[in-house]
Amino acid sequence: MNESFWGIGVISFGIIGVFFILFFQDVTNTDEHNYNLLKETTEAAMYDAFAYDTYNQTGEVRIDREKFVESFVRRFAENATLANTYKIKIYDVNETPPKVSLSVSSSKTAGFTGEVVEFNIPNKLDAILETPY
Amino acid sequence: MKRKKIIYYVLLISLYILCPNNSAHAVDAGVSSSTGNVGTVGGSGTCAYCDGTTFKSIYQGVRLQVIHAKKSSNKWTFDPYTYPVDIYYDVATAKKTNNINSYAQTRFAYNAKKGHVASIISNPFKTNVDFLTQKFKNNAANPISAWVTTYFTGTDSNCMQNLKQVFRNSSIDSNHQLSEKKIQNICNSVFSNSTAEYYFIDAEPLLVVPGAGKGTLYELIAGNKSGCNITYTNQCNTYVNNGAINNVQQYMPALTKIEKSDASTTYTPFLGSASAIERLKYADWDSDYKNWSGSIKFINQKTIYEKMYGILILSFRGSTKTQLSCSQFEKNFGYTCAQYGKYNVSNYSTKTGVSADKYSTECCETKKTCDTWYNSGKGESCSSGYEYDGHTTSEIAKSKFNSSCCAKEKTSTSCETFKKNNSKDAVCPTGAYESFSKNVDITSKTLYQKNCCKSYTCSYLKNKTIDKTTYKCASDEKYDTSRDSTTVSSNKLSDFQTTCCADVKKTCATWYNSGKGETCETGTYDIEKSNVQVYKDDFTDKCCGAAKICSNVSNISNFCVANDKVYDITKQNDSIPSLNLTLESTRESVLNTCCKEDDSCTYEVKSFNSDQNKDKCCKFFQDENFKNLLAAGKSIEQFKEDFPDCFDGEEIEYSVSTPACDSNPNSSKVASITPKNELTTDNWVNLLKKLLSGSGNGESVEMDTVCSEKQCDSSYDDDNATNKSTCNLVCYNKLEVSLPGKPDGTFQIGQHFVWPNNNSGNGFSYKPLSSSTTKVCRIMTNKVLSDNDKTLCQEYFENKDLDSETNIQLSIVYENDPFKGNSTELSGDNDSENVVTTDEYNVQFNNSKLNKKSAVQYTVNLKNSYSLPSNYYAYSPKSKLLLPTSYATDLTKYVDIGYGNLPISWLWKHGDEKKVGISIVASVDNKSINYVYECKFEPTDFDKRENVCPQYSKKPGESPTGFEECLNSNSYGNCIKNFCYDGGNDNLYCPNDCQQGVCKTSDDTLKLRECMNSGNNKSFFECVTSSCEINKPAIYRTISLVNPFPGKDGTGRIKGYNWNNDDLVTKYITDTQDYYNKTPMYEITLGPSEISKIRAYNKASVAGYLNDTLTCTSGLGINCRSSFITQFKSIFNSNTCGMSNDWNACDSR
Repeated sequence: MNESFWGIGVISFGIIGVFFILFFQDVTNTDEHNYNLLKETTEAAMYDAFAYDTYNQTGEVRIDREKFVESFVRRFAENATLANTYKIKIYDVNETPPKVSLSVSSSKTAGFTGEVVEFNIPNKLDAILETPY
Repeated sequence: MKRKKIIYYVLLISLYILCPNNSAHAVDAGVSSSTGNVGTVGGSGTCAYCDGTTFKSIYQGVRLQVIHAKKSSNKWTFDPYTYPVDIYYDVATAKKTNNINSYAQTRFAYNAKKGHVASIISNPFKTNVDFLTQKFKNNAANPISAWVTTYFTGTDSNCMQNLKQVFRNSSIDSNHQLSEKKIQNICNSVFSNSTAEYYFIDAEPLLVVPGAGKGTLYELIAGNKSGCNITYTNQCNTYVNNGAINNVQQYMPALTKIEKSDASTTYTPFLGSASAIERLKYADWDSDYKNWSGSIKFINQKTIYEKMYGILILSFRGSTKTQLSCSQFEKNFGYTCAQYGKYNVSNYSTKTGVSADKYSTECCETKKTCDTWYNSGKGESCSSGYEYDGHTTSEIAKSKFNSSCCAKEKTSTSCETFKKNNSKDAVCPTGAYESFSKNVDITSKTLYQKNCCKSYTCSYLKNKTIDKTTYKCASDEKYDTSRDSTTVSSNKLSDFQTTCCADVKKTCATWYNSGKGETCETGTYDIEKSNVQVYKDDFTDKCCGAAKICSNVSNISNFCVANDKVYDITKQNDSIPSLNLTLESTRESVLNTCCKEDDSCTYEVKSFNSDQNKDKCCKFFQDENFKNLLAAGKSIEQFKEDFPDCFDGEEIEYSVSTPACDSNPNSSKVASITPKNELTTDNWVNLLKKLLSGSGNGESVEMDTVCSEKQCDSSYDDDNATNKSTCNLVCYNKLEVSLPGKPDGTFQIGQHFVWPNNNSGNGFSYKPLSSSTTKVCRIMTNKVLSDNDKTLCQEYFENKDLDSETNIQLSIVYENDPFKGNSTELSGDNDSENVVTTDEYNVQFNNSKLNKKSAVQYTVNLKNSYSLPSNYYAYSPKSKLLLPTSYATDLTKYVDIGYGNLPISWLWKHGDEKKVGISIVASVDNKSINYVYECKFEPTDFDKRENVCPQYSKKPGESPTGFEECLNSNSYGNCIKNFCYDGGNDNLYCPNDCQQGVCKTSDDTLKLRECMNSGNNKSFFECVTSSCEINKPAIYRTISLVNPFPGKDGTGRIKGYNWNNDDLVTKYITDTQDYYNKTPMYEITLGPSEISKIRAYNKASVAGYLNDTLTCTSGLGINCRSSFITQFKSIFNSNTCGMSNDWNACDSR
C-alpha cells in the first residue's frame, strides 16, 4: 500500500513537473515570439507608414503617425496568438525623422496554492528609418 | 383600442401617400403632362369647326391667346410677319434643339433666365395644342409656325412677382399696365382659398393672323370662370356660351369683324381692324380686360396643377410676308419714319407693297441741307441747265435737291463786270478781300459781297504786304500753321498777330534777360531753371521758385569751389538777395551771399622718404614750434626749404591744413594737422567686419535664415576720391521654396537674409517692415476662394502677379564722428538696377556732432514680383488652410513661396547677385570724398545647407577637403561633381551602378549626367531621383536610445542623411529615454475577440495594409488621421495623448 502511494506520489510529482516545464517553456517561447513579432511588425509598419509622396517631392523621409499605429495593430493582430491578451504601448512616434518606441507585453496566469500569479512578458523596441549612408 | 388607432393612422398615412395634399405642393418639373387627366368642366362640350374638325374642349378657364408681337424700345407693336419662327411642338423639344429664336421662345427663355419660371413642366395643354397644331399643319395657307408655353408655379410669396413679370413685361403701354391692384387681386383670389384648386391662366389679347393674301381666320378660344364654359369662334361661327365673347365683341369689335370674314375672300389682315390694334395697344387693362383674367375654380379637378399659373403664347405666321402700304404700317402698327430719324418719302401716302422690314428704307428718307448734299461728294449736282445756288436753307430730301438747291443758269454778270459798272457797291466788307472765282450773276452789292469777296484768313495774310503792312508775327512769336484757315477779323497787323501767331519758347534766362519785364518776385528767380524752355506767359510759373537760400542751392559747395571760393556754412539759411539781373549776376549774388574766400590753405605733402622721416615730419607738424612759425607768417615754401625730407617722395595720405596761412599770416588761429582721410579703407573694412560678425547690441530679426560673411573688399579710387567698401553676404533661407516651372519642393533658393541689427551700435542695420514675416503660400485650386474661405487667410493674391516689397533701412552710426564740422551729403547708391530708391536724404552736417546715437538713415525700397503659374492662387493662411474639396484641383501642391517682403526675392536664383548700397559724400577740408558702402546678396541653393556630400553621391555625409571652399564660390552641382564623385561629370553614377567600388555607365547614369549638365537648375536630389532607380530610400534599424549610432569602433559612425544632425539625434532619440516612464502615446489592448475582429477587418480590406484610411490636413499631407483607429477606438485607451483631438497633444508630455 505504501508503495502504491509512493508510486502515485512520484507520478503526481512528475505530472506537476511536466506542467511547470511546459508552462515556463510556453512563457519563454511567448517572449521570443513576442520580440520577433514586435520587431518584424514594427519594420513592416514603418515602411507602410512611409510618406512616399513627401519623399518624392522633397526627398524628406517621413512616416505618418497614425498610419504606423494602424498598420502595426493590424499586422500584429494577424500574427498574434488567440490564446494571449496583448498590451501594446506605443510611447513615441516621431514622423520626421522617423523614430518609434514601443513595447508589447502578453500575460500568462497560473494558480499556485490557490493564488493567481500573472506572468507579464514585456518587450521593448526602439527603431528608426535612416537613409542608407 | 390601440390596434384601432394604429390601423387608423396606417390608413391615414396611406391615404396621404396615395393622395398627396394638393394644396401643399407645387408642381414639380417631373409631373406628367397627361392633360387627359384634366377633367373638363361642365358645359364645354364638343364643338365643331366649320371644316368638320372636332374640337373637343379647351380646359376650363384657359383662354388661349394667340398673339405675335414685337417689343422695341419698351413698346409693343403687333406684327405677325416680322419674326420668322420655327416649329416647335413642345417646350422640351425646343430646349432640346436649342433653337430658341422666335419671339415667344425668346420671351420664354427670358422669363426662365430671370428666374420667374419656378418650374417648367410639360405642357398641360398638350392635347389642345396638338389639336391646333394638327389643324394648322394641314392648312397650307396658314401653317402653324410655333407655339411655346411658359408656365411657372408659384407660391403666395412670388405670385405677385410672377404675375408682374408676365404682365408688366408684356404690357402694351407703360401707362396702361396691369395695375398693381389687379395683380394683387389675382393673387389674393388664387391663394385665399387654401382648400380649393385653382387654375389661372391669363394671356394677352387674341389676334389670329391669316396668311398672306388669302387667309383663314382662326381661334379665339376663351373660357371664363363662370361655369367653366368654353367660348370660341372660328371663321364660320361664333360660339357664345357666356358673356365672355360679348366682352370680346364689346371691346374688340374689329376682331369680331375679322372673325366673321369669309375665308374664301381675299383678305388683307388688319386693314379693317386698326381700331382693334389701337385698342390692343392702348387698352386699359384694368377695365377693358378685367374679365379676361381671373381665377377659375376647378370643381372635381383631379389634376395636381395646384397653384400653377401660366401663360400660353401661340404664335402663328403666314407663309409669306405681307406687303402693306406705308400708311398702313403707320396706322396699323405705329411705324413712323421719325423713329428711324428720317422723314416720310414724298409718296408716302400712296406707296404700297412694302414689307415691314423695308419700311424704314422704302417709306422713309433722310433730309439734309443743300450745302450738305452739295458737298457730300456723292454726286448730288444740279441737272443740266441749272446751277447750284443753295437757295433753300432748310433741310430737304435728296430728291428735292435739284428743285431746292439749284437755279436755272443765268447769263451772269461777273464780279469784274459788276465792279466795273458799280464801283460804289463793289466794296468788300471789313475783313474781306476780293475774290472773283464764282460764276454768279452779280446784280447787287449784297450779291457782290457774298460772291465776290472772301474773308481774310491767316494763310492769306501770312507774309503778304497790303498797304505797306507786311503781315508777320512778332519776334517772340511764330506763325501757327494750324491756324491757316482761321478767319482774321480785319486786316490790321495786330489782329493778324493775335489770331495767327503763337508764343515761342525761350529759356528762362533769355526771358529773364530780355528786358521786357519778365521778372520774379524778389529773390525767387530760380537760376537752376535758367535753361528751361518756357513760353513767355509761363515765365512766372516755371522760372520762379521759392525764395532761395544758400543751402537750397544744389551743389553749393561745388559751386563755391568752382568759383575759387568755399561755401560759408554759417550762411546756409541766408536768402539770396534780389536777382533782377542776368544769370551771371545771379551767380555773382550766390557767390557773394553763400560763398566766402577760401581762407585756408592746404598743402599736399608729397611723401615721406622713410618711416623715420614720416615720424619726424609728423612730429614736426604737431610741434608747437610749427604753429609758432606759422603764426609768425612763415610761408610753406620756407617750410619746404627747411624740411625738404618731408616734402619729397611718394604720395601719402596726409595733408596740412592751416587757416589763412598765406592770406592772413598774422592770423591768431592755431594751425593743425588733420588727417585727410580719417576713415581709411582699413578702418571701414574693420568696421564692416565687426558689424557683419553680429557684434552689435541691437535687436536681431529672427528668421530661419543663415548668413555668413563671404568676402569683404575695399578700394580707394584716386581719380574719384572714392573709398569703396564692399562685403558680400551669402544668405539662404531654410524654408523650402519652389520656383515656378520647377517641380514642387525640388529646387530651393534662399529667399531672405538677416543682417545684424545694430540700431544702437555702429554701422549698417537692416530693418524690415513689421509685416514682413507674412508667409506667402501658393496652392493649386480650380477656382478662387469664396469670401468665407478667404477668412482662413491673412492675405491672398488672386491675380497672377504677386508683388513683394521691402523697405530696408540702412543706418550708419558713427563712433568717431568722422564728419564733425564738415559738410556731408548723403545720397543713395542707385547704380544697381535692382535697387529702387524711394527716399533720398541730402543731409548737411554743419558743426553738428554725430554722436554714437546719431544715425544716418537711408531707406531703400526693393520691389520684386512673382508670377503665379496658371490655375495657382497664393494665400497666406492664418494657421491651417483647410480647403473644402470643392476647390480640389491638386491640393497637395501646397507650397510655401516664402516671405513676401524680404530683400531677397523668391525668384532670385543661385548666382544672382543683388546689391544695395549707400554712398556718403563728405566734404572734408573742402575736398569731397565719396564713401560707398555696399552689401551684396547672393542667394544660394537650398541643398547647400549642409557642407557634406548628399545622399546617393559616392561620399554621402562626408565633407571632402576643399568641398566647403568650393561651395563658397561655385554651384552646388559643380562641387558635388568635383568633390563627391572624385571629380568631373564622368564620375557621376547612379547609386545602383556602383557596387563595391566598381561602377558601370548605365542609361540611368547617362540621364543623371545629362540632368546635372542641363543647366536646368535642378537639384542633385531631383536629378538622382528622376534619373536613377532608387531601391530603398531608407532602411529600418532598431537602435539603442543611449547610443543610436555606435559605429565599428564604438566612436560613432556617419549617420544617415536624415539623421545627420546632432541636434536631431539628441532631441528625438537620446532625450526620449524617459518616455517609457510616461503615459504612452497609444495604448492598445488586444484580446482574442479583438484580434479576431481585426483579422476580419484585414480580410475585408481590398488593398491590404496599404488601404488608404488616412484623412490628412487638406492639401498638406500632414496630421493624418486613420479611420481604422476611429473604427477600433474601443481597443485604444482613450486617455492617451495620441487619441486626443489635438494632434499636438503629445508634444507637451
